[in-house]
Amino acid sequence: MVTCAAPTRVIVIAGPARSGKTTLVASLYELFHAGPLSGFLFAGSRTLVGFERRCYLSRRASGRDTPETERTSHAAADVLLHLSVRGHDKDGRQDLLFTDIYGEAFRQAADSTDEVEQLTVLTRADHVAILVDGEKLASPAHRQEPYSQADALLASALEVGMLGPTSQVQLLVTKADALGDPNSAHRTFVKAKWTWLDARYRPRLATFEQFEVAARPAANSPLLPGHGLDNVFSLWASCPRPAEAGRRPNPPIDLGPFNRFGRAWDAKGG
Amino acid sequence: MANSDLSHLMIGLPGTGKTTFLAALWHVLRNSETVPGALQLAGVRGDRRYLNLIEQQWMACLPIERTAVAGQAVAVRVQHPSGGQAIELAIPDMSGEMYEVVQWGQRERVPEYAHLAETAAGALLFLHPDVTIETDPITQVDRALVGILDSPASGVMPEAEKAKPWDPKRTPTQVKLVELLQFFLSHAGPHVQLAVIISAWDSVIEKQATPEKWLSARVPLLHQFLKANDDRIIYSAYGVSAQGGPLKSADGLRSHTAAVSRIRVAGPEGESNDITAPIRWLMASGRTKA
Repeated sequence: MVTCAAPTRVIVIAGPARSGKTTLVASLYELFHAGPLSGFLFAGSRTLVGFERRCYLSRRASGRDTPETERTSHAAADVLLHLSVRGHDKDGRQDLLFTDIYGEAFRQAADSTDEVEQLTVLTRADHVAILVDGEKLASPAHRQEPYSQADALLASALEVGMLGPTSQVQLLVTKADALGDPNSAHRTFVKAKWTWLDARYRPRLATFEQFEVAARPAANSPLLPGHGLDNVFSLWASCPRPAEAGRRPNPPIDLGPFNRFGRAWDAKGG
Repeated sequence: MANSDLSHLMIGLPGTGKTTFLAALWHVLRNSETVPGALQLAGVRGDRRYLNLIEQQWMACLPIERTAVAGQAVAVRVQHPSGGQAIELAIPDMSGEMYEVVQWGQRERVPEYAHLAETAAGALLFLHPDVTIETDPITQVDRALVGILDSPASGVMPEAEKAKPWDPKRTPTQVKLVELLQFFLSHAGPHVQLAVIISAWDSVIEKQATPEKWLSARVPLLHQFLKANDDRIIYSAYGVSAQGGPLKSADGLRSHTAAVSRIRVAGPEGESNDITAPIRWLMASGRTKA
């Protein structure tokens, strides 16, 4: 029961198919392989195998020349990934549980309030990160899609109360290397779209911020792998959801269903 | 187990020097008068054939026989050189395959291991610099090279990429060791002592490195895990060259008049050839199990 053991943050990653949800979380984990991240030390994980499988296609051991992330199947979409970290403060241990809303569910939720009501995890989330695909923003044919989809999801979730005044929401512009230099037309477009969404939703949420990230920038990009992830991680690990009158604390989450090791041991009477 | 008994697990992947350490430890215990400050042997419970066998192989600079998956029970009574009550030290020689294949790969619980972990006061965790699988991501440089080699000008057309299936054995060493420690902690008491043994210390190229700095540089995920869990784990890092050098230099190693002089140990107390130093540290800071 992770949420009983230490303060736990539930992070929901929402985004359309191929927007980089799994790559984002896998890259966060892999950054710890090289050292502390944003002042946080890696303190353990109950889902090391899950992380390793998700990182595998980006490793030389896979035999590939270019990194890839295995797509999350519908069946695996409710899988949680767990990271435990410790800040400089000696008592600053944090458990983080990551879950994503797979592409089709994201699309349906944006289209229908009935569908978004099924996403109960949104009400338990300390942070909801909505991914905006930078590659699409850089494509003239698709540039309107990402912010439009984010807008539709936010509108739908706010309408039925799945998000509200205590919700902390981030827009993450993934694959930011595709946007080019700071003065590019793509970035001007991003700035305009963000200004529009910010004005629309900031008053209705506890916090609403935008970050640019590039987990695995292109070979010719000046950005380093994991670009921007340190800032996002620091926010997730440091800021719990604000207290809300009448809102009950998160009930414990049983790790068994997503911890293969735990399942195997339980089955053997361990 | 009596009040004065301590049990310590040896945790490590295959080929990381657990049995070689044990062979050299047994030799030093039997010849402790030649190593200032070393623990002294006060007796052995049960069969000592296994210890004698691996000691002979170690003295002859032969590859040490691999431990059977079931492991070997080893229990010796040792005494601090300054005197005091002798205590029984149980150091079961568990095979590396039990850790890598059974625990990490198959994710199975070995009841004998679980019992030992529950009663252990601490553990020795083994790493070997030459058998460490690094986290090895495909870099931007790799991708740039592929772009050049696969460009139309090169005449080589890119092919759809295929990947080898995921193999748990090829997981980075530091990840496996974190998981093995998590398994250990899930059974052990609230506080454990951990002596981290970096084997083949003579092979570490960075001669200025201390064992602690080596951990930080080469296995940062594991190093963070140890530091972040200091409410449960008290650890100390040692660089140990139990053989004294590579077996391909066996002639030079055999030239030592006293085999104990081959051993090199680097730890918080400085450098010596006292391979009992990590055990002494474990005993000094360990809790006595009832």
